[in-house]
Amino acid sequence: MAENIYKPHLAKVVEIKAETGDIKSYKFELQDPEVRKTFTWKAGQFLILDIFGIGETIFTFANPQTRSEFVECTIRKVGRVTEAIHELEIGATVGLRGPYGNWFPFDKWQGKNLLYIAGGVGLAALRSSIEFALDTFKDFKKKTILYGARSPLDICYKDRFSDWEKVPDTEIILTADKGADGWKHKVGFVPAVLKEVHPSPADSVAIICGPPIMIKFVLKELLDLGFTPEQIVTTLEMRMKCGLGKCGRCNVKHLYICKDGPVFTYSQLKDLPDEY
Amino acid sequence: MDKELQDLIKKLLTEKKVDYAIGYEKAYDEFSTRPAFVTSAEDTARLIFNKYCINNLGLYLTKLKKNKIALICKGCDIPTVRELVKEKQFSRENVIVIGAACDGVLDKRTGKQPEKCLNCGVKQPKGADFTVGTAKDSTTARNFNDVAEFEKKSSKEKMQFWDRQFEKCIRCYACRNVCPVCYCPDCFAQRSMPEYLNKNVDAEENKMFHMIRMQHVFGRCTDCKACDTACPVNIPLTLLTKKLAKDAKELFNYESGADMDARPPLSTYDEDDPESGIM
Amino acid sequence: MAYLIIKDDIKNLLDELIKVKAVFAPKKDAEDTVLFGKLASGAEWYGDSLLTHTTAKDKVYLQSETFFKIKKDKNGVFLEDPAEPAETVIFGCRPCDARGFDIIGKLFNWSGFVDEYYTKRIQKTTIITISCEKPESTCFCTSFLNGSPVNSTGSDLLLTPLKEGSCLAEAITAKGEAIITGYSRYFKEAGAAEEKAKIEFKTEAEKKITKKLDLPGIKQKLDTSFDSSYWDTAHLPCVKCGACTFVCPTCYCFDITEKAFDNINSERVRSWDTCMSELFTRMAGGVNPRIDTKKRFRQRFMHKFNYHVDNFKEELCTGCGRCIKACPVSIDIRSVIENV
Repeated sequence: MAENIYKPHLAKVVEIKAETGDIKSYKFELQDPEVRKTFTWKAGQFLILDIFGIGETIFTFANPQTRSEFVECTIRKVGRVTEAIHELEIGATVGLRGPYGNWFPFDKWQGKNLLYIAGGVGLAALRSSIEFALDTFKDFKKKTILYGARSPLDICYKDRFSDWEKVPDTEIILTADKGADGWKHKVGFVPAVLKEVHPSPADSVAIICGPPIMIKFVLKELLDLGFTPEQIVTTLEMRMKCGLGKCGRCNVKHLYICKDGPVFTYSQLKDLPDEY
Repeated sequence: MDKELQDLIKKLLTEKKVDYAIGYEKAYDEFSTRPAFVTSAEDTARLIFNKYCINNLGLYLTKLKKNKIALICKGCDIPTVRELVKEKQFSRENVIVIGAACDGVLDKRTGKQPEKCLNCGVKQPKGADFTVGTAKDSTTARNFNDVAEFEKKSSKEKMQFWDRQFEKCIRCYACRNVCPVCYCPDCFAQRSMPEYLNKNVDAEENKMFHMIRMQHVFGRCTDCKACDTACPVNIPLTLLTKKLAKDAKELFNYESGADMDARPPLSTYDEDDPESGIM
Repeated sequence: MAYLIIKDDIKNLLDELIKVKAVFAPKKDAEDTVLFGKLASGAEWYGDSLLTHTTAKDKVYLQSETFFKIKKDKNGVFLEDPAEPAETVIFGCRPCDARGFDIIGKLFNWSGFVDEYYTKRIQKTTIITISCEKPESTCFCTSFLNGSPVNSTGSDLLLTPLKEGSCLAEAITAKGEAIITGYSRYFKEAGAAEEKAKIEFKTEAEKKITKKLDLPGIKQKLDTSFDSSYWDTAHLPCVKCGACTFVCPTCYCFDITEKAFDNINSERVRSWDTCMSELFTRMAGGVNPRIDTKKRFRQRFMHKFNYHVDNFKEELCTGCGRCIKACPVSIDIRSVIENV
């Protein structure tokens, strides 16, 4: 019989980095060299992380396939499992299974402008896609990253931005809902900043991820700017347990977020009921 | 009796005294009824009352807190209303209690009268705002003979009995969800931080669930038997709820849902409190 | 080729099977609960009730299944696979129960992901089904394509009680065949008369099932009724327990959790879950797309008669009617979907 789909690969925590007060980034190294060679994924897919003795939970791959030496995840402390993850130390053994779900359709985006819009820890779900686009920058035109958080302290991946900006035709626009001393960037909600920046929909794709309320208003702004539903892409999150379309909880109508998603265009979503 | 009931509810709805009337209607065959939620006078024709009306509709009071409700109650369901009002879950002004005279109900699973009906002092309801019908006889004094009989068993026998019961339990939580006083929005059984109960279903975890639930409803459970009749695998929870009622009576001279002024036994302290319940 | 087995020999056959396999059959207890229990002797089999209170689903798809044991100490983490499942016989389930295995089996093999726990168990399980002589008021198997009191989908061996105290035995699979050849002394070849008697049995039994649903019509209605105000009131009586889902032969949703014994030892466990529970879709942090009781109620019926049909071209229901009986407030799945 084929491999047991519920059994994780063992991996070790090799690096931990505090991003904000409640967000940390982790690097995991798969233990089995054979698995390390074959374990691949595509930007946008997710994995199930297994904290032995506590339980499993899902995260998106934070790093793209072009930087796949380790498996990286950025994790906000929100519940029982994530609390246990934040307690992990370097050298701890965890389990990984996956990859699951679909991925960002880069082949369809060749030669286009990419507009990433993220809020809070939502940037973690887009990081793999952003870094893949930056690593293959010649395939795309302008890359714009509009990112907002509640406060300057809540900005994730601060030390990555300078590297990102070095890539030709890349612009990063940062905003905080509330500013602070020394904050040199914008102040205001992401949708308002988006309106101000006024990106052109011509030959562009907008890729968004963030809290539901941000997504709602960003969608409205994008449509006002002239983006068509096909030009807007997002990645959804729901409670998931198996990652394989079997446990039955992450469906919106007959679609399972874990199997048919998590990446959807707004043209797919707009006909679905608001149950995600 | 159905006509009398329908006319009364029609009047209450027409006069806008209530938003909802919660009663019974025919379910899937002649031997079953289900709760019916009626909001318009034209819709009252489906309301019935007969010996298959086993549900305690008091359950729905905490789910429709903002509404004015006419609630059809058997005599044994009325303590539930009092208990919920007493626990400040529902305002007495918001509920019109329509007592339905009852000569005993039949359990749809067995076709037999449950023990509570053989042992019932309130066939003619007491404490209702309106009463429909007249019960044939209404004076059986309540007794705890079956519990007393069970108490005589040895610890080992009791354990064996309950182990066998909780092995059957499928943890569907029907007992909890039909319980009018199990209204906690976040039941201990589903908490994850800390996790009181594992999702794993086995006799031990199941037993833990039932024992904690019983402790939580002590002095609040009106022994209405909703949990017992809801169980899809016939676990005789009545033995436990009746034991609670017996202990409350014998140890604290307290009866849930009876006296509006009496303080619940577990919310008061008295130096003379019995300690037999301490494990 | 059909065979005959006389009813007295069924108990003898069970006694023989018990010697080599774990045999589960309906057993009645002191509370009159009839459940599939492990037989110690053929005499324990209780064949007089139409449906057991819960299905035989939990004999293949365990309510709580240990995926693997975990040992985590200073030397690292070690995962230990559970023991291989034993050879099992499910005896005396009904065609609606047996068809449930066929339906969830497809889910557990969906889109190339093979669930090895379910697959290993079902491979080692022989399902011996008994046709229904006396369907009840809650039965509606004939609403489904090929659904019938004598349907053989999901069964390995089908027994149909005929007059004169014998049953027609039809092997549906090689596993069923193996029972007949392995215990041939209890089976004799049936003739044309007996096969004809089975057709009469089918006609008689089907006549007793009066409720027939127009499922394609219902599917069509459900396609456009997600936002219907019908759901605002239809869900009111429902108390959102999981009785309906846990007694269902086709409800398959599950949760995966950890059962920790101490700081070193734990087990990864899969347990049945129910869409009726608020916890089912609540995310860490509290966001819940189906926080409304109405949404959870709608999900159950939509999943069974709409979404699952989109994905698998068949309903997630076999018409056994157990949910109707188990529901503490007697909600009738048939009228819920018919009245949309």
